[in-house]
Amino acid sequence: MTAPGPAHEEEVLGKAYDARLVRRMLPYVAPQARWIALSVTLMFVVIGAQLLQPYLIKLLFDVFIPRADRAGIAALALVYIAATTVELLARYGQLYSMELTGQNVILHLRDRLFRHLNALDSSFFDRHPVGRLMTRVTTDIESLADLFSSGVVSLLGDSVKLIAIVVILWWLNWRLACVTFAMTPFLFLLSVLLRGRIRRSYRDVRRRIARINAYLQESISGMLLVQLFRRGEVNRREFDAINGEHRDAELRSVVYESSFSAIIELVGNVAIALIVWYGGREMVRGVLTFGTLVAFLNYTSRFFGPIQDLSGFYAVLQAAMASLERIFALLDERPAITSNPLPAALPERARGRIDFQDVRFAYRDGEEVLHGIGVRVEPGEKIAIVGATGSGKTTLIKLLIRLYDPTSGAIRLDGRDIRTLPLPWLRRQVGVVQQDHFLFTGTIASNIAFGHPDLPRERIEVAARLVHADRFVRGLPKGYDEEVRERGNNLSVGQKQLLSFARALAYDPAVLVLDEATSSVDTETEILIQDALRLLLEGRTSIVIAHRLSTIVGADRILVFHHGRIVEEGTHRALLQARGIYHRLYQLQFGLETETSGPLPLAAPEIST
Amino acid sequence: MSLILRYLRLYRRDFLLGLLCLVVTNAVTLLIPWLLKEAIDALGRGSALRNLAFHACAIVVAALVLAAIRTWSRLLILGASRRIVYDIRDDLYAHLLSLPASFYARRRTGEIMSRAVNDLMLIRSLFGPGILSVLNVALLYSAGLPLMAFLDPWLTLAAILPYPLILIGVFRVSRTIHERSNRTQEQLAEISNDAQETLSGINMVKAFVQEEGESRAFGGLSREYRRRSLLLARSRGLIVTLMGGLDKVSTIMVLCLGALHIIAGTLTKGGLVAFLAYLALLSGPTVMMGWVLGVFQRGLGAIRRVEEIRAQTSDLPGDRALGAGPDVQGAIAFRGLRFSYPNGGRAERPVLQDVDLDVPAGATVGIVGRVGSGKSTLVQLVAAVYPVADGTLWIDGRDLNSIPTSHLRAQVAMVPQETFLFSRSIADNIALGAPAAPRSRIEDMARLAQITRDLPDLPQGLDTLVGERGVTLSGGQRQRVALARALLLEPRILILDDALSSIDADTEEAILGGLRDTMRRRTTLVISHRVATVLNADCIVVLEDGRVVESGSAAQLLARDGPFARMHRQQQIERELESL
Repeated sequence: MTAPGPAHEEEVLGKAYDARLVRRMLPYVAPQARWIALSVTLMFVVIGAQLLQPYLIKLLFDVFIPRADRAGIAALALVYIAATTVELLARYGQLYSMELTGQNVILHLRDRLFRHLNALDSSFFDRHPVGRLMTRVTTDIESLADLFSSGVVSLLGDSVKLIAIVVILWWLNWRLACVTFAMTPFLFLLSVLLRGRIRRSYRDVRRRIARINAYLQESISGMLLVQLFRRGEVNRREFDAINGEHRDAELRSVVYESSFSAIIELVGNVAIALIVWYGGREMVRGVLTFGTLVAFLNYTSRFFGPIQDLSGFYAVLQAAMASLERIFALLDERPAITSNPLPAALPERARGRIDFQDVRFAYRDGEEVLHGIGVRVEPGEKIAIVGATGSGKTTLIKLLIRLYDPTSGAIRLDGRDIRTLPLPWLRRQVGVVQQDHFLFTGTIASNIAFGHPDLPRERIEVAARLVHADRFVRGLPKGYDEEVRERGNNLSVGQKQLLSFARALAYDPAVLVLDEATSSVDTETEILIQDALRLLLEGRTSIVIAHRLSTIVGADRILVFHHGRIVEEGTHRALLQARGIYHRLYQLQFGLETETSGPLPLAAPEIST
Repeated sequence: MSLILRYLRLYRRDFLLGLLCLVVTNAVTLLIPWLLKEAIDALGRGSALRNLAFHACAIVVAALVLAAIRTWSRLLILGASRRIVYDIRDDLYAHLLSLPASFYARRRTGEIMSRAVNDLMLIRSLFGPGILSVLNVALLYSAGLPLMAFLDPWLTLAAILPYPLILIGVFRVSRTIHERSNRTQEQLAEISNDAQETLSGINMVKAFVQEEGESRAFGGLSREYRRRSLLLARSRGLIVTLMGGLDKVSTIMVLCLGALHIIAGTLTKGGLVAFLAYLALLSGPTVMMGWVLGVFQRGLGAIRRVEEIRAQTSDLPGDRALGAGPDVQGAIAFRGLRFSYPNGGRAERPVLQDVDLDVPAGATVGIVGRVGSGKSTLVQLVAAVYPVADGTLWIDGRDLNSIPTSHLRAQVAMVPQETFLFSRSIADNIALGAPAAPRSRIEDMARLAQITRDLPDLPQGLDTLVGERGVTLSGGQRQRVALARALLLEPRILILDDALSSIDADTEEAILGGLRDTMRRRTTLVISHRVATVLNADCIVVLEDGRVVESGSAAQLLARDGPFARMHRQQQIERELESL
């Protein structure tokens, strides 16, 4: 049906050379100057050794065979062997040093790009789909590697080789050289012409295989519908059409490809015929030796390869430039939220007083989601926030750790506006347990120690033990070294929750913010979680988006969010008595559960107020 | 192997003709150095210039013939390989269409895609360049070697001495290259996975101040990628060196020995030049053979994998049932139905058990229950998505297993829980099950599903493209398109699997109002988490852990004050809160 989205942007090819882009690339290439110099030097060695060989054959025919000089032939063989050895070793070194250059350049560029992405703020990631960004880090960077491994130096090498051959042939016999080169412009023109066609036909093939990909992807994902709606026959026909178009494009590219190689061969053979015809006449006239004739045949056979390669270079360059353009565009993105340098002496640990002062926020202009939140949280206080989905609770937390900045108003930590604080310091003080319990690929231990990668094993285990995660972790085949795969799909929801508690405990922040998950877990896990939670909140300022009864009941203060405003505030008892929104929410979420056979709320007696 | 033979036979005309062309091209290819030799030797004898022109012209003519026939031979054989891949891919897709839901539950989409795209690429190389090279080398050797031996047997021996080494060397190294290139690709995938993970969890990374740590870890992966790329470059360099080296060994031996033979008078100068030319002709394809062996190896692996998929069959008894029988009226009966997912990984835990239900034709049944209680599975069984035991599910008094699946599905339409729209126009999506439906019918259904009220916001109305290349519809809009799609089929049995969940209450009411008439005329199964949706149903069924715990009309269930009544109360409060 359609090609995958990115192909749209990715297929756009601009000019093959852009001085501005190349200049920006220089800082990445410059450190590799030594390898490049080595590669270029070796390239000259290769060319020299290669071009020496036909001349040796000429000497063989012109000097040693007529003289029947067997010793000379042996010596010549030794020189030939030496030339070959040098050529091969130098070629190996040349290829390798060029690959090394390319790999070093892309290593640094990729690292730089990734670091840059990490520094960009959340609103950037809201605007740019992750898939697109990944293409920058992978495909685009790879096409630069191609530029080095098969591009720049071979371009230089080919040109030098061509010039050298022209000079040598000219020097050997300029008239025969003219006849031989008569074919060159013709060949070059043909190459450029056909190459263009071949390139276009390949692009056609790629585009169509992308359509096959997209069609398959979609119909495999939607197979149930295809079958339920008895679409089989129609889909088969549609796929056949797409598949057929791909075949036709392939067949077209086969035509160009086949005729291209045949024509190159033809031109080579015609050149041989020309040399035989004209060279033979010259020989008869006595102005040309037999060895020179053979050398001509030999040199010309080495002449047409580089011409073919040169005509293919354009495409590589064009693709690399397009990738560079996209990469640098990404590097030009500036983060909207930046860190401040250490303003004054900040304590190691904050006291934990938080002021939200008339905080307003909109993800998009004109769509305000927080309408002036004002509240003070004292050090050590436990705050619970309740409210319906979409009332702005989670957004407030994102503002507190500066994933976004408020549109107006301010947030203060211990009296300092958080925008004046260094980001790492702020985020060290405020620990967040997010709702979706994001686990990273790695081990259980590395996930617990996520905030402190060098945390000793004992501390990791202590944290796990305190939040009761220890038991299930030890039950895993490899314990703390058990691999976490695909974001923890091999763990249950409850287990993931306990792990993120352990992670937060190991992080040991002055302020803990918890976005509680609503997911239902079995009763046993529920009891473990409750207990872990109590421990986690002890001795620090805490703000909990609460779904659990025990959290709400145990809080010092409850804030009720509704449509981006705090509408009620007070203790559990006071709010229940007020019979307002909290009362209804409470009935909705807990009141009815007491009647069911589901997990029993632990603080049930409290309800009977 | 059988697949190779089958397609070789199917395209025998192309392959045989291609072979014939290759015979000619190889003959002509070998003729050119011979003409060169004749020309040179004639010069040595000081013969007339006319002779020279003749030889030069002969070379040009031979070259022209060569170019034409070589192109043709490649067109035939490479062309056949492309057509074969097209055939196999078509077959594979047709086969995929016949495989049941349980197959797709077991396989990842990426894996299936890889069969249909990457493996077919490998098969293409086997039939195209693979076979072409094998034929070429065989012909070149069988004609070239005698010619060379005729020029000088000792020289020939010296020339081909290193060839077995070249073959073995190239085969070995190309295997290493293949392995290393796979390992490099795997590392690139690692890089891409890591980037995906970090960027998806960027908020988490920032909250725990791990930007530096993540960047370092990523840097480690990049460095490993560089290491593997360089290893690959080393074996690539090795193969180039190895090939070049061995090739040069034969050239040098031929040159020295040849020179001695010329001095001894057993070989002409032209003979040596021709011999060198033959050597150059042979060395290229010989080097290629090492690579071709790898192509065959990988191609055969790909064929095995594709054949494995083609050996899969449907597990639905209905797919094997014959005789369509009468049209479906819509009476559904569950008799002691028990179901657990086939090979579902999770051992044997039944998703549904002891389900006994009678749904008369034309009735509307509401199904409610918690997440995971088995609602979706229950209705999917009616659409024959998964196989059921004989005698447990009856349609119009016929065992579902005896009704051909396609006949059944013609009269059952389902709107699944997860709306899936194809990247086409809205109209095409509505006409999914009836591509030939007239425009007016599509518009009627769009009106019925209340899509019409959104049309002013869509750039091309019903012809607006959705998906990657088009607009992104909201969840509610998508569900309404899916609804229209099912209505268009005019099914006897209509299944709505929580199909209105993202639609706001007002629109839902409008839709249900419009559907009331339609629903009266067919059996309708409605799953909903919204009590209001099922209040008017003839019968409401409450599922818990795969069992029916309550059933009856809304009035009866509310009076019972069971789970349904509780849900009802809870949702009333919710609505109240929403209106605050």
